[in-house]
Amino acid sequence: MRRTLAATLVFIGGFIIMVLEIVGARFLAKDFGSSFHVWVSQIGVVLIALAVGYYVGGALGDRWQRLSGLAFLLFPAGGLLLSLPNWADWLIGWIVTRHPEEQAIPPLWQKLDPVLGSALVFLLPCVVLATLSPYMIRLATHNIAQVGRSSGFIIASSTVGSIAGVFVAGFLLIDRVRLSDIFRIMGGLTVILGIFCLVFDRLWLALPAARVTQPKT
Amino acid sequence: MIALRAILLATALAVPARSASGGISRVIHEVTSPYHHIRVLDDGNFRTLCFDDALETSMSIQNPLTGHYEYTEYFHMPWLWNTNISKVLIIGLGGGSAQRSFEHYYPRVTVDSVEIDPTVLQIANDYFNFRESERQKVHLEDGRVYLRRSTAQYDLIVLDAYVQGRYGSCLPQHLATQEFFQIARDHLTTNGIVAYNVIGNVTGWHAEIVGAIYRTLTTVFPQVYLFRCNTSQNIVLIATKARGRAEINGLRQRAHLLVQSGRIELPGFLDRLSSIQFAPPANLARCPILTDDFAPVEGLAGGGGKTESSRSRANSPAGSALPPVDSRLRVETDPFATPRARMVTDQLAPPGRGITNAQVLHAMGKVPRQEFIPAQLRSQAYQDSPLPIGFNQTISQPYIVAFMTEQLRPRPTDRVLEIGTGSGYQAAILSELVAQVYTIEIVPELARRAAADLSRLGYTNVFPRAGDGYNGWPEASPFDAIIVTCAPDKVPQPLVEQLKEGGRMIIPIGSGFDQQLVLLTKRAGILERRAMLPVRFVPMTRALKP
Repeated sequence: MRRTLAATLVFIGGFIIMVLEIVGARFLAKDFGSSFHVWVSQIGVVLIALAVGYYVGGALGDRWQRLSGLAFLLFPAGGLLLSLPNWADWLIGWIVTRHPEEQAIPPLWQKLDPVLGSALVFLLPCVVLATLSPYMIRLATHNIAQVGRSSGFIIASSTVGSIAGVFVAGFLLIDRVRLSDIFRIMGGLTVILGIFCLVFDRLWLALPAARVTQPKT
Repeated sequence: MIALRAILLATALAVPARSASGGISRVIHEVTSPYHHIRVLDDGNFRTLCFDDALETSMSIQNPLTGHYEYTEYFHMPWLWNTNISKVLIIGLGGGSAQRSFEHYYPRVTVDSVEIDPTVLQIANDYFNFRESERQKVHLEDGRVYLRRSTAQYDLIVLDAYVQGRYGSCLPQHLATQEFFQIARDHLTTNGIVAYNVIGNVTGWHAEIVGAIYRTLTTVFPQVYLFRCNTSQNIVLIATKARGRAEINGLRQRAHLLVQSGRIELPGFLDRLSSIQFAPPANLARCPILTDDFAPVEGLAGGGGKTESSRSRANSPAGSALPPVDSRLRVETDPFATPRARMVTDQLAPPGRGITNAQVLHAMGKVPRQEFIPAQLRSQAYQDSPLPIGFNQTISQPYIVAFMTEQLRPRPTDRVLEIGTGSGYQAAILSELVAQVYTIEIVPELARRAAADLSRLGYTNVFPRAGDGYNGWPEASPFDAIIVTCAPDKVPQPLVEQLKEGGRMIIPIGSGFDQQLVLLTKRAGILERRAMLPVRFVPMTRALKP
């Protein structure tokens, strides 16, 4: 039961990350162009977010050990995404316009500006969403003998969510929904995840953990 | 009884050959950049630039100012709205067709080009005769990023950054939105103009994307006009800052003035004006306005009508179809459209050759010659020579087909008899021009195959028959015109009898190397005879029938 809930949570987290990555590349194109560097930046930044999020999520899971702890991360992340259409343009505009108009942008900044833009807009929400997997592995596992299966199941669920995110974003959302609305929907989903964590915080402890198979001695 | 063996013509002699195309393209340069798999093809006469599976640029090696795709000529149309163009921005370099012609034809114009891919600039320099200079500058960055940061003002901004491949279009969506067009407008002088190359049709294939870009332009610019390419599925949209709506007579007058005063020397400039369409696409109201927030270009391109059948479809350069070069190259659109269009311009039309009848040229540009040729020879379908089609027969050189058809002076109401169906190609050409074509072939297998091909391709006004051509087709006579595509010693009398008063017959007469292509006109029962060309057709051999 706990595992199923944990898997659902990380599935949605993985889904949102990849929607942000795909749609984000499109969002950055209007300021940084459709250059190759934009895609490189977007993928690089999301991977940085995953690395940081995994590390932090694992550490916090050990320390807090409560589902409600995640809500404190998810609410601000959701808030950032909900309001993204209101501040991101301004921020990226600042990155672009800081170069004098009649001079070519130095080659290094041609590469690093999209990284910077992508990081300022997408890094924080993605870090938070990446914390879900290790955090939930910690919460759903109560026996060292289960760690392999438990972590495998949860990481797989998160990845399946990411796969869904890629295709849903690229093949469906882009053609049907405004970019700003996609960001707002993802923000809303993140907030809902936070509420879910609060609501299930108490219930979680009462839920049966996965059956423990005692190793024979 | 004497029977005729109608063997189709071999090559004609004494025809001015401008170029004997090898027909087979070789890849002379191949490189993968961060953006595309880029190839440069060369067939000895033309160089072609391919991005992935799409054609970008074509250029004649002998004269780099020719051999380009038709759509690039519409980038010259803005002179009709603004005769004071001196600074031009072209987004998308490719092989530099537009850049070359602007530099050559307008000595006072400076051109800035923006190209995202440094590799493309290198290739334009190395293989497409492109040279940077004071009047020809290139900026290596994204078009929108460049324009947004630039303080320059332009009289004309050309957008040519669209790639069409078989996996769908790659229209950079950030170069098609309302916000982008606003940036463009702010960088235009008072009577500034935007010219936008879109791949698609006004109805059917890609109509949604054409409509969406048209509609988006109308939200920023007071007037938008549309030019439809004849030889490809490209549409060039012209958007002007000028408020007034131009009308055709005014534009014609101005075009004549520009040409007469020598300010425009681009060949065919006047003809291109006839491709203008003033009415917006019919589907305009259903098309979305593209914005940075919502620009579903992939969905629009994918959701449109299916591509048209291979028979009526033309291809689309700059993201377009490929010539028949290499089995590894495949494209979504008709790969023969470009070589077919080239055949018309290089092998048939002036100045190289003298076919001037517009209907004949149109038919030659329309009928898919490759469909009448054995599969293994299709890559050579549009070269300047006859080709074997089996049974010791050939399909004629395109020029001879066009020449004989032109001499026949076909009219839409005519009923025409052809002796020697062969592949059926000549009949298909006639089918486009006259009411009915009756065609006789003595080799039964060929007659069957031609009949099947003609019916498969939808030529319903051609009536093929296997039989002896010497006797003509008395039941269907008289005919307005008769075309004979094999050489007898003298004109068969039954054919003379089946020709209408005032009717024309074109026929090669003589033997071996001593043949004349002769045009006969029947007046008061007597044949007027006019020798046209010394030719060499395969003889109409006589064999005894059992």
